[in-house]
Amino acid sequence: MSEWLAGLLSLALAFAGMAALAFAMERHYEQLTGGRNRPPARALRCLGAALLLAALLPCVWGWGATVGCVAWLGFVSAGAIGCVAGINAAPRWAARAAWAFGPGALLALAWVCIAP
Amino acid sequence: MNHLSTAYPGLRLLSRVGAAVLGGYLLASALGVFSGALFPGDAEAVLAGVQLGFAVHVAAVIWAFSPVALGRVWAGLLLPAAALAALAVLLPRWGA
Amino acid sequence: MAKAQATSGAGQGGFRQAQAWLHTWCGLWFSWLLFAVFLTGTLAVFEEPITHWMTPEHHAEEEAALAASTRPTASLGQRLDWGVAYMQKHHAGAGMWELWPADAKGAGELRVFWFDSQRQYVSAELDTASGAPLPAASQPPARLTLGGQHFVDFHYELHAGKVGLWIVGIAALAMLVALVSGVITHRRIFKDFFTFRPRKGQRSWLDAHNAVAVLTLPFQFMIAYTGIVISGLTFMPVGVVTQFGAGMPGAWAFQAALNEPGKPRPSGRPMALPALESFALRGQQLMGQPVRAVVIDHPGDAAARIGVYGWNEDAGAQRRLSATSGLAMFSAATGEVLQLRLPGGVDGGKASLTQSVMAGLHMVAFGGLALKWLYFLCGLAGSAMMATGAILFIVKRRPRHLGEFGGATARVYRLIEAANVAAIAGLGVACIGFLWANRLVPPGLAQRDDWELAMFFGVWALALVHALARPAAAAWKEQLGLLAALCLLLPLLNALTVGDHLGAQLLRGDWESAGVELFVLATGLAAGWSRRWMARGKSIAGSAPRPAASLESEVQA
Repeated sequence: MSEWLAGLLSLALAFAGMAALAFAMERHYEQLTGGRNRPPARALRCLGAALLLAALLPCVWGWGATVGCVAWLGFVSAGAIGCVAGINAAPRWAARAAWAFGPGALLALAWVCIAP
Repeated sequence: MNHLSTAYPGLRLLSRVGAAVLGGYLLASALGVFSGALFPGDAEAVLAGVQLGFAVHVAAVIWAFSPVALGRVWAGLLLPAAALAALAVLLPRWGA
Repeated sequence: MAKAQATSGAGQGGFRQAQAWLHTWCGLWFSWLLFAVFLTGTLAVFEEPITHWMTPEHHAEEEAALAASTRPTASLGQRLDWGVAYMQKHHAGAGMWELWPADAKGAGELRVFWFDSQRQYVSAELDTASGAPLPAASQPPARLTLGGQHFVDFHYELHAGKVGLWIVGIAALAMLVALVSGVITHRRIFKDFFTFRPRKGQRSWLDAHNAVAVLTLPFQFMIAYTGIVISGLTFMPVGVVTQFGAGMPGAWAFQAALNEPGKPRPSGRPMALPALESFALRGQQLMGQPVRAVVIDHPGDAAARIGVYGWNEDAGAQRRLSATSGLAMFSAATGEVLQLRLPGGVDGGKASLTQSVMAGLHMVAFGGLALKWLYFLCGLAGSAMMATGAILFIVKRRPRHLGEFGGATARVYRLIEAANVAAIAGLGVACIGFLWANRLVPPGLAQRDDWELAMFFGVWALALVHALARPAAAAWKEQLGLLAALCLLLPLLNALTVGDHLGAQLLRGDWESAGVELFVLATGLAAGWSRRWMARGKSIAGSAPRPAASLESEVQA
């Protein structure tokens, strides 16, 4: 896997995962919905954790095991920074971006696995 | 001893900083010396002792600034350092 | 006020409270130095592009070298033979010959090194067409400069040798203490993970400080710890001294115990040095890397050793944390392999490998451009962590100071505020001033690299004087304004002095120069925006501080 693709996929998954973890918290779910519904916390947290773990895959594929783990930690931090900026500036757009990046990156990852 | 604990706050602060910096450094260095003595002539053991030593120094500073009396801070850092150094000297003698 | 002192102070109150005190003061006193070390370290990630931008006359040479590498050139064996012939003729008595025959593609320069009669490490370049020695560079480079190396040198030793190294080391340990105490103090570290509330004054500064710190926390711990460990033996030499002896002999004994299986002593029996090409090729095959250097110990003696070192340009180099190159050591007499070190490996055991991995982690030679940018981002975040911390201190305490320094508190706060401006905005101005100096100091001037460095330190010193002379709010606005102006005008300066500009750089695909200028422009915009935000009144400096007690008495009256 080329380093560019690995980086893009990892960053996308990290952003989506961090966004899921963020919106699992009442404080940030409220920023998103404005209302008083409680967030589906358990589901969002599981989804977030899964997406963050998934972000490790393109890293290991692109850079090998050791460097891949270092790269993963970097992308997780970058994704988190993106989330803090996005959620507090424009929570709905951040959520839309997460919905685009998350499944999109997962699909791309699956395609890379399956395609020869 | 009550009058000592409220008098000269500046000196007491200096003492605590001294304990953290000096005592921490001595304890960390003593660990390096001890690990070297545990495996004489083994340069790797000395290197590992140095690498771990900095974590010990940081921990020592953190502990020195927790709510512990000043006397205990000095003792808590210098006594283990002295003990490790003593062991480092005595171990070869005891035929390790 | 006495009550405030009793419950908040060194080792006072509960554990969290005591750690909060430690975090505040350890953090503050080291924040200015650490910000400088961290920012220059961040810039050092892109040392090569910065050097590239700062040596525009060198670009033509670089392109010529690139073109030359496609022309046929002498083979590896021929180059090695010429190297040996030169050393035999001129330095037959030297105890060590070192040949650098070619670059990773088998082309490029041919250089030889040895220790002369004064034990100085010297070199000569040989012509790759004839093997004849080339005259030492009669002219210095067109634009003598430290380039990006300035940021590297400042980062780890403040351009001050051993003393500077120690100062940076102490600061790095203080950073670790601040990180640990910060985590202990931060009660709602998970709840507040994504929290940022803008336009709320002190609250916002605290949120920003927490965000940049917590979100990059693994990086911050790693970079500080690895930075210290790299020079660990310098900082904690006692173990080496007690086991191996003091001073240089002790250090050599320690190195010998770690690395070398033992440098053989010369046997005294003369023996002609065999042709090196077969050794180089065998070494290449064993290491899996193209030949970088061939080092011969005791040439002309029967106990001679031939060490073949590799270039870290194989595909695997990007995927290894440890940056050591391959090494194959042969006996010149028998041709047997004395030592084989695969790329990334170390001559010693686990601790040596740990040392190499830690150094590699700190200097990010691995992973290509993506990792460099990740480190750059985290480095900027770390710098922001220190800057927001120092600013938060003032924002929190200016309205009502707590009399930590008795009657002198107001004056100390004034000094802290001036230090904030000079250390943060002022350092930025000094860095961009360094680039301005590179274009303004005439290229042919003798020792112009010293002049550039003088500009860096001079501008920074002036920034401090300015910050002490002006009220804090004005100082911030003026220095941020200057930073913005210098940054935004840099491409224009480049065009006027060297005739190169961003458009031309992009057109010819010079991403290094373009990257430098684009980042400088972005910094200029950020500085300009910060200045406008400050001018609108939401400032990080307010009116003169009043003691807390007088406020309380006002409230109660």
